[in-house]
Amino acid sequence: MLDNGQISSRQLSILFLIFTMGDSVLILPTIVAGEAKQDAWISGILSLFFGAAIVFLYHRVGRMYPEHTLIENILTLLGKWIGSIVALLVIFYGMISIGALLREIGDFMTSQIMVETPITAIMILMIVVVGYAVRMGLESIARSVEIFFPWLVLLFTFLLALLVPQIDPEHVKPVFEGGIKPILRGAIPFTSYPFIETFMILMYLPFVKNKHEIQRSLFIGAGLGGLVLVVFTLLSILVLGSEMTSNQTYSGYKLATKITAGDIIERVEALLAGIWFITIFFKMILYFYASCLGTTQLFKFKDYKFLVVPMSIITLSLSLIITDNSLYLGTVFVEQWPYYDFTFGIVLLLILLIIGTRKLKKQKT
Amino acid sequence: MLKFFYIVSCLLIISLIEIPQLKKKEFKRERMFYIGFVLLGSGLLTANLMGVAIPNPLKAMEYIYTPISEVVYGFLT
Repeated sequence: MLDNGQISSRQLSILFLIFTMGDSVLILPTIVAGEAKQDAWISGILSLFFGAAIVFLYHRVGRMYPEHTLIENILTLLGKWIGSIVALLVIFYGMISIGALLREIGDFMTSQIMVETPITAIMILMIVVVGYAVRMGLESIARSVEIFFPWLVLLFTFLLALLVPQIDPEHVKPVFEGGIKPILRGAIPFTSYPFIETFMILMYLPFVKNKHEIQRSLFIGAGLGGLVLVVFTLLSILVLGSEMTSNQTYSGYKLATKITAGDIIERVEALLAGIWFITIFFKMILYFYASCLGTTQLFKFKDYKFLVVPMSIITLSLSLIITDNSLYLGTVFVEQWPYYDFTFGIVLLLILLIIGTRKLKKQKT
Repeated sequence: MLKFFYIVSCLLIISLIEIPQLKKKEFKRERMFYIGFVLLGSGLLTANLMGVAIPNPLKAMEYIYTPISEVVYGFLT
């Protein structure tokens, strides 16, 4: 094993919860409300069921070879040549995702909070912190997530409690205005961003201590994370209305500006930005660690830590290359990215599952 | 030009710290890979900062997935 760290099943469920929330907290309500209007929360509930099926798929793929990570699975099941190409594609997927996440955080900071700071400065700071965390190893990541988790819960309940007085039930009416089709259209990004993007969790499963508790912790993590996102989408619609939610680039941020409590508590939107920084930080770690470990296993290196610096330089340049402006990235996120996720998170894993079960059956007989 | 200078000096400092560590452990392939990766990354970064147009990988993704996206949307509208 390249990393001697081990994580407990409790840490796994917290990690998976935060990976599920990821960057979705801030931008998902906008995307879904753009498709499903005031029924976006129904899309959310629907995608919780899809998400359960997808998490079950992850568990099944991980169970075939409990000691293998995703890249090792690909290499053993698809053969040397095809396996290497697919593994490279998966690693590239991880790197381009880090680039997109970096870009997202840069765009958010430069358009909402620190308007005059150059975007590169923010991105360099972020990638340095993420790279440092990855260098520390898996065990440190898992422990830091345990430290951050109570704060997240605290901030989230605080926001929730303060937003309840602003609710206007008229905003969700009429329910089922456009029939089932807009709801399904909204369910595509709602399933893809929280649940399918996290298929990289398969790179972490071999490091879990109690293998038989993996299924339970994955379901707890994905369920709670998905529930948080559904509550958030519902709140955005109840407070802002579907029009406003779909027009704002960062609807979650706009939602938090609505909080006022007796002239004492005002402008607490930075709290939401705080939640988002923590979750997006861990989602970047998810991809970064997986890409570094995957490259190491693909090329059979002895250590993964030396890859952190080169990898961060390349992802930094990728995040600058992939888009000239945030609008282009926004349309790609809505129209193409969910299917890009789908190819790896579902199609590839299904192929692996079919080949793997056949191979294991053959070995038995 | 100033940006270029900054980037190159930063990378030189980092590499000077990291490469001897790799040497010490007799990691020959890793060292080669490290140098190649850093050169690739810094090349991309400086080219980008100096305004050279680099092919965007998202464009390729857009090209592949737009038909699929259109088919799915066709079903759902």
